Amino acid sequence: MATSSPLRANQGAEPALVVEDVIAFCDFFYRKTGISLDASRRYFIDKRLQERIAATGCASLREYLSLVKFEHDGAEMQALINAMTVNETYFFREDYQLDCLTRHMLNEIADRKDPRRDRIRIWSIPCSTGEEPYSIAIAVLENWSRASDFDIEIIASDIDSRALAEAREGIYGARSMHRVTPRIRDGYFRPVGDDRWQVIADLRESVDFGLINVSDPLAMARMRRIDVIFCRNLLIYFDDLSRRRAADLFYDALNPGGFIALGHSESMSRVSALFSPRKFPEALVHQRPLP
Amino acid sequence: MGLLKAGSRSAEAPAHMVTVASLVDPDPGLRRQAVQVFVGDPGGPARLADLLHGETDASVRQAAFLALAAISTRAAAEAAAGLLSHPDPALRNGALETLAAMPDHAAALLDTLGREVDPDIRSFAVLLAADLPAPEAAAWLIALAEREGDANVCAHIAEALGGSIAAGARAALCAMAARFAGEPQLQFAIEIALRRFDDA
Repeated sequence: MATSSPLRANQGAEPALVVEDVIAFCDFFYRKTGISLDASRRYFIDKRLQERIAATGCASLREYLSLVKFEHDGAEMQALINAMTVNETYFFREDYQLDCLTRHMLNEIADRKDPRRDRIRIWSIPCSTGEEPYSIAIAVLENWSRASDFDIEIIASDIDSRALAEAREGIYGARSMHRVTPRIRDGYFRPVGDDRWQVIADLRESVDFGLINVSDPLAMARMRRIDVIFCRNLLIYFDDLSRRRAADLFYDALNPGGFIALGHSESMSRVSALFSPRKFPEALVHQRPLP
Repeated sequence: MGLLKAGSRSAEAPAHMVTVASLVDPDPGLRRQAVQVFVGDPGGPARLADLLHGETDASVRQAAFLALAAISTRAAAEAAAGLLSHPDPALRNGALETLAAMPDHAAALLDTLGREVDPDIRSFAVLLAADLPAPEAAAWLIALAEREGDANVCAHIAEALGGSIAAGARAALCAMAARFAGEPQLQFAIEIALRRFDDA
């Protein structure tokens, strides 16, 4: 990302950003979140940074960074994270993994559990605006014949508080809904006008949404005894070391024998040797080995 | 039964209290947690290195290596480098990955590693230098190319320097080829490396 010239972006009314300061910002953001912002996203980074600098009344990026580093309540850090993260998803994205969940993974997990005592816990991270955890919930209810035999928890986490607020509200437009069949739509959504639909309250209350930073080991230590993790298209934003750290934390979060499903372009075998690849007819997932 | 409402779920069980004593606990999960105790400890790198020398569980080893990478000091790099001579290849690879995750501190160790008597350690140093972004790494590889006497280490150097934009890289490889005229395998490796300059 570094260049030797003092590259300046956006010569308009907003403060211009000097490349050295942007690099310092990227280093800071990486340390806080594990997310590696690269040069190909320079326009995006500058634009979002300038918006935050303007919103806080700072005169420069350096002043803004001082504000973020030394604020007491973390509010501007959260606003910055919200601005820098991308929340583009839709219902039943990469649904072959959901088929794999209901045809194979859940059965294996259920066979090791006592339904009178043990719960099944599924974790969606990053859950973005909620389409993924709601899709998981619908898939379980619709396609897993043993769903009524177990208590099932669906946990959904993201680093972006704004996305989580949208997820809890559960209102979606045509872009998010384009893979939802009329039968599913009529069963799990209600129209709220203007070609928008809201997830029914019963389903919304079944997903436990919460804020989490994967780079924060203390926060991640709260996540334990998970049976299936859906972590799709998160690791692509991390560098090698952050990926290894995240994989390590996911390993601790999973029960032995638990599964983690990554995005189609991601591979755990290049990140960590702790997981065993499991090839099912629908998808390749990764498993924390049984003792 | 079925999907549980978010508000009706039981609270998480409190985590086990983890101390240094947990490092010898039979549960690898507790040993994994225990290594975190050393992240803020000045003596942490040495303790983690001691642990890694005797630890056999892959998940505990990984946690210890990640802790060294998180510490990311000269002492942490030295602790990782000390494992490059370990007989277990998994530990050696873990040490190499950990060093690559702290490039500045690893680069500072190249001179020491390049003077090790064991040619395997010198080879690891070459592999490490090949992945380091620091420009000094290429200069170090060229300097090593000019004096290295082991053909296997030189083969690694050839692979690392092939196509390099660093001044003197091609000349160093040509000189190496002349020095090892009786080593056909190394000649072949250098020939491939030199071709990469033409392809670049």
